[in-house]
Amino acid sequence: MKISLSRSNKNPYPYTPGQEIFFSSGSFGWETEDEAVNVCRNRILVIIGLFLLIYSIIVIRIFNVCLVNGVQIKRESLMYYRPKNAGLISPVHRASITDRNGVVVASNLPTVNLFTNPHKVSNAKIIAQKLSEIFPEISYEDFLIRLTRNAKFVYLKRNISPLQQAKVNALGFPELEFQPSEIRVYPQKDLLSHVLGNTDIDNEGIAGLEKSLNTRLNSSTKDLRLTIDLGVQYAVRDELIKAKEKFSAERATAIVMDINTSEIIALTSVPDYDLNKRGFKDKDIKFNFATLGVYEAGSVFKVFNTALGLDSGKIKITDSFDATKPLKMGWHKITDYRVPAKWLTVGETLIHSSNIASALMALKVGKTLQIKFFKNLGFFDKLENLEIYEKGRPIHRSEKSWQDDTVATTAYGYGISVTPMHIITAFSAVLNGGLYTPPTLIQEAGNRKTRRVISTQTSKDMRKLLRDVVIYGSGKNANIDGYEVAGKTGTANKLDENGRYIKGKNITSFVSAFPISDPKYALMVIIDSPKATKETYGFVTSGWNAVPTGGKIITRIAPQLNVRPNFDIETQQQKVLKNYGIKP
Amino acid sequence: MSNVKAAITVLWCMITIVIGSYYFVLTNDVQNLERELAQINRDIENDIRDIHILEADWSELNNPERLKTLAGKYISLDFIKPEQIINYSALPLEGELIKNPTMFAKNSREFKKLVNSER
Repeated sequence: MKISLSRSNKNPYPYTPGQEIFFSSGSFGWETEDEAVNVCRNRILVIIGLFLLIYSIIVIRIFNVCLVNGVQIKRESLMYYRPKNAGLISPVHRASITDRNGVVVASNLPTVNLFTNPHKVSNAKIIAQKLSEIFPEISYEDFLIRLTRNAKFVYLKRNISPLQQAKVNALGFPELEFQPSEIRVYPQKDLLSHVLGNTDIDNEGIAGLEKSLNTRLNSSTKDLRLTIDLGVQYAVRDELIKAKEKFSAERATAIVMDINTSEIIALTSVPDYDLNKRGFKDKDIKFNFATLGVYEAGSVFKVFNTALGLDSGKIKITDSFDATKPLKMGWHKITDYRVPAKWLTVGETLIHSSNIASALMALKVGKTLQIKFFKNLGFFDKLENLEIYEKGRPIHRSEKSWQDDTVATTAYGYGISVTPMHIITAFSAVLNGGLYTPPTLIQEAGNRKTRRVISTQTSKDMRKLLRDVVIYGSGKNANIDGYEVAGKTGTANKLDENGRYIKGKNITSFVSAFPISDPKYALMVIIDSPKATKETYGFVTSGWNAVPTGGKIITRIAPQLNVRPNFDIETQQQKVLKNYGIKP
Repeated sequence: MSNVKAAITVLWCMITIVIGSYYFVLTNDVQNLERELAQINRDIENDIRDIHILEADWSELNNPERLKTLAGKYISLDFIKPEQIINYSALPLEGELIKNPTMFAKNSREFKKLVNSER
């Protein structure tokens, strides 16, 4: 049967109601009714197929999810899902600090803060009572004040331990909430207190390296590696504490430095404090004398005076100076302490530590060269390159008022005040071949500009002269067999806050290097206001306190620093036989 | 012409289905991988946190003061002396000593000290 679909010309509507609709052939692309039915059937089949396919996929996926990955999905569904933030975020927000061998000395540990919204607290008295039992260091009244404060957020206790958190949880008060936090801990307690400094409760540095390198520590989670060796640091501090007690001193300070690189191996100043116990108010304990304390160093300055004299060419090592009578400088008279009244050679000047001969040497060299040399050694400026926050500015006369009396007195360490760090860095430069390198406390220190301050030959001469000071002079008590110690002692009157000398109070210093045949390390020991003991026969000069302390420190740290004692084979054999009680 | 149209329609449907299915599977895989990655990152974070705690603990246990106390208590070690650091050639390993090393040990003060401390 043919089908047709045509409009009646007379009727404006295509069909009257109830009229059968006819399809004209070719209108929809098929010719017969059967064909049209077939097309419909096929389409229905396709749609059924599509739905079957979709449902099959769903069934397969359900099967996959329920049976194959079921356990994994269940585990994951319990955890926080963050597909857009899948990148690794370090859980620690402030870098750790380690010693030169990688032992952690400062680290952030995860803790929890306990807080509440006081507006939501209904039974403040009961909660305050329970909390004061868990945290006995905070009273019931304090907790009550915090719980009833007119605020939306109040910390009840910061940095609580997991055990305390469990106890608070067990109380069952929904008003008490926890916030993840971090606390800075110092596993070595008081061993590096002045170097590291400290952080406040928000983990921002407030002293020491923590303050000066605050940005670096907060911006990178890579460990900050120090140049400090913890073993050496401990040995130095241990000996200093003993010395401070033995000589009833007010303070003791020591620095160990790599003589060639100016890396600080140990730096300590006692008294010090446990970094984990915050809130120390005693300024004396927090005072880092090694880098902040400027003082008149006394005779250790003769090292630099002699080096300058020899390097300038104006003084020869064989020259002699008249130390038979005091030297008059205007109103001032320069005298010596227990020095033979005779003409002294350069070597004898150092061995006997003659002020007169040193002053004469300086006057021969002159003001211009002296100022230039001291500037070159960094004695007029703060140690800008040193990373620590606490740095002292040297005190000295202006170049205009630097007259002959200043030239003479600075020759033996009076009239100029610098920090112990200034002295040991300059001392290293004098003995390492003549190169000054700014000191550093961190291994990632950038390019430190090294400059020549004296010639290699002068440096070699100085090694010999300073070795003689330890063998024959005031440094005898630090002449450790085998370690070839060279150094210079210094005893200076102590100044009070108004710049007046305090009668009977000294600051004694000993600056040394070992082994002098190939210098590797420098050590400086300072004892503030030591008292005489029976052992010192009533003396309070450096040779009786700072020097033996230095000797003990070198004996302990040299093996740690891999410095071999320099004995010849024959001496070694004798020592072995003696040590083991064998008669050859 | 109609057959061509139908074929194109079917082809488009097939392509849509294939791409849709592929996209569905891919999305699932990506989500799974993201979950896995997030999980791995969380594990790493936890490990880093644990390592931090353990390093601090290790540092505290290795406090030189503590080690010195322990060494003094259990192995009676003392500070090393310069004369204890010697070259091999300086050891008296000739003559009587090499023949009878126990005599060397018995004569040694250190050996006697050790024996006494054990008693």
